[in-house]
Formats: sequence, C-alpha cells, structure tokens
Amino acid sequence: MRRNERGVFGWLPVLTLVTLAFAIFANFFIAGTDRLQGPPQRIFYIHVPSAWVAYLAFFLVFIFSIKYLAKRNPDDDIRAHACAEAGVVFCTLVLITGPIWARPVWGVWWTWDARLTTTLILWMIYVGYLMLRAYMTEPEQRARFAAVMGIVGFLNVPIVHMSVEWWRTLHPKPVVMRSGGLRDLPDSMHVALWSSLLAFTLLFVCFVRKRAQIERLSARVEEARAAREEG
Amino acid sequence: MRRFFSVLLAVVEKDLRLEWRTKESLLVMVVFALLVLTLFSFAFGPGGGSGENARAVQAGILWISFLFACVIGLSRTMGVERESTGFSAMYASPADPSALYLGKVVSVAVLMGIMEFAGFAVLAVLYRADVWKSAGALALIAASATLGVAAAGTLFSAMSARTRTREVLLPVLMFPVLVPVLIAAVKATEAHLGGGGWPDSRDWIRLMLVYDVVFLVAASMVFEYILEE
Repeated sequence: MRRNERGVFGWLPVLTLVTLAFAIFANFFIAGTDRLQGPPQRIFYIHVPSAWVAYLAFFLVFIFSIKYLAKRNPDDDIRAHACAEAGVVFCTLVLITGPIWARPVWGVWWTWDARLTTTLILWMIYVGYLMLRAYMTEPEQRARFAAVMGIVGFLNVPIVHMSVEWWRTLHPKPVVMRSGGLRDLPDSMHVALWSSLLAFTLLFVCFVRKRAQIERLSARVEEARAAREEG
Repeated sequence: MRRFFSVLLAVVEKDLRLEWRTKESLLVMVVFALLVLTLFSFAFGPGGGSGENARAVQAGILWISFLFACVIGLSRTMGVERESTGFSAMYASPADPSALYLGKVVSVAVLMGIMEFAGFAVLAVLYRADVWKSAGALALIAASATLGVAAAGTLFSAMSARTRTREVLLPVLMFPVLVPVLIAAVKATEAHLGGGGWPDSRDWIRLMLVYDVVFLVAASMVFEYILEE
C-alpha cells in the first residue's frame, strides 16, 4: 500500500496545488477583464472547469458501473462511488457559481435554460444515487443496485437535455446572452481557462483517489471487525 | 419466444388477480389521484385559474397527480414481492429476468391506465376540459407516458423496496429520471386540451416513445442484477 503512494501519483497532490495556484493567479492577474461583463466574468474560470469535471465524473460512474457488473471487482464499485461523490461536489459548485455570475450579468439568479436545468436534474439524479447507497447495508447488493442506478441515470442525460431544450425553445423567451465561443477568447483568457481546467481535473483525480483509498480502508476495517466477532 | 411471453403473461395475471382480490392499490391510487386533482384546484383557484394559461395548468395538475398516485401502485407491486419473498423466488426461477420485469411493467401500466381513465373523467367534470374532442390523442399520450413511468418506476421500486427506508426512497430516485416524460406528457396534453392539436404534440409523443424504448431495453437488460442475491 505504502509503496504505491510514492511513484507518479505520490506527486499528484503537489502538482495539483501548484497548478491550482497558477490557475488562480492566471484568473486574477493574467486574464484581462471582460469588456461587457466586467469582473464577474472571472467566475467563468471556476464554473466551466467544475462543469467539465462534473460531467466527466458522471461519465466515469457510468463506465465503472458497467465494469463492475461485468467483472464484479469491488474496486470498480469503490471507484464509481468515489467519482459520484466528487461529481456531486463539483456539480454543486456549478449550481452555486452559476447564479452568482448570472445575477450581475443576466439580472436574475436563475433561468430555466436547457443547460442549467439539465445540470440541476443531473445533480438530483446523483444525489439520489448517493442516497440509495447510504440506505443500503449489504455491500454486494449495494454495489449492484448502485451500478444499475449509475448506468440508467447516465443514459437518461441526453433525453433530459433534449426534453428540456424543447420545453424552453418551443415557447418564446428572453434571449439569453451567450459567450461567442472559444475562438473569440483572447490569449490571456485561454491561459486562465485551460490552466484552471487542468487544475480542476487534477483536483478531481486527487479527490477520487483519496476517497477510494478511504473506502478501501473502511472496507478492511469492516472485514476485520466481522472476523473478530465471528472468531 | 413463446416461453418469454408465457412468463410475462403469468406475472401480469398473478399481479392483476392479486389486485382484484385484495384491492389494495388501485382504489388508493384512484382516490389519491382525485384528491390531488381537487387539492390543486384549491391551490391554483377553481378550474386551475383562468385565462389562456388555464389549459397548461390543468395539463400540469393532471400529470403531477398521476405521477404522485403511481408511487403508491409501484411501492405496492414490489412491496408485495418483498413481504412474500417473491424476489428470492424470481431469482431462483429459471424464467428470463427481463420477462419478469416486463410482466411487472405491464401490470403496473394496466393499473395506472385505469387510474388515468378516472383522472381524465374528473378533469372533464371539475375543470370543464374538453376531453372527448381529442380522446384518441389523449389516449395515445397517456399510453406512451404510462409506459415510460411504469418502465422506470418498476426498476426503481424493485431497488427501493429493498433499501432500509423501503418505499420512501422511490420518489427521490424516480422523479428526476422521469422529468422528460413529465414535460412531454404535460406539453402534449396541453396541446390537445387547448386546441393546438397534432402539430404541437407530435414531437412530444415521439420523445416519449424514444424514452420508453430506451428505458424498457436498458432496464430489462439490468433487471437480473436487481434480482440477484
């Protein structure tokens, strides 16, 4: 166990911290201030990477869930669990930073726009996933049920997105201001965006690894306790 | 293939016969749906408010009450299996798990269909909605929505029935996943109640059919993992 901790991944937390520090620096000092939106635009460098990490996390839950059902390796269940937890954390961050930005820029905390609504529903689905896990005691059954939920929940995402998009676009509504796409960004903003994407992804990997490690240890504690009670 | 359908029909027959003898869920479902329909009238004003928005409100009220009421039917259909060790029996039996699952879906959908019939009748009386004018369209909408709700609901109730909290978890797991069906059913119903007709409802019905297919296929594939012990 301990030996694994050195190696490439041993440096991961350090690398994450350095990248994160640079990303924050880039956000405030390298990237220029947006002419239309002003300083609130800087929350973009936290919001977008969080969204990317959340969707990545839920995709990984899907992959590990399939892998668990196919191979029945408890470690895949632990990984799916860790990814779901980290995903919910970053998804929460998306749902918090979004309104903070929207208030000064759009004038409202929330609009029922397709992307916002899909993210909210997604958050609810994975909170449900975590609750399902929390209310089950038998580890093997919990792993199977959670895997089913992880697969079905993710398959649902495109349908939710499509339905919400139609729901909003079939009726006229105030035009929501959108950014002009990545190509229109000046270089300084690219530095801030990409460094913070990298930093958040590394942070996510750190979280998942740590969470999985804790989960493995607590599984071992459970086993030991069960063994002692029997013997 | 014949075996598959005979298993499916056996499950449906067993569930419906059980319901016929005990009358445990259907009656409660219907009364609960009517209750919610009435309560919404108090919340939004008589007949779901007035003006052009009234039809939209009515369609929303109708489907929310169906969705709430079906939780009762779903918890019952799987609660019965848990109490009578039906899950172990299903797991031990050589029957195809997807046939067992689809049988459950059909029996839930039949119960929901009866409840919805009563719901539409009440909507016509209490909310003065012109249900008969587009009865065929509404039946199609109700059928495609019901199939989706039953497909997702059966899977999630089989899971939640065996958690520590029992049925309490079912709505929390099921409602977020059913958002597309709810939106589509409400929008399509609104189109037909308000006179928009097929051009406004066609895409929504298609969306529900896609949802039904995706869910029925995915859930029948994973149902064996739910039965396993």
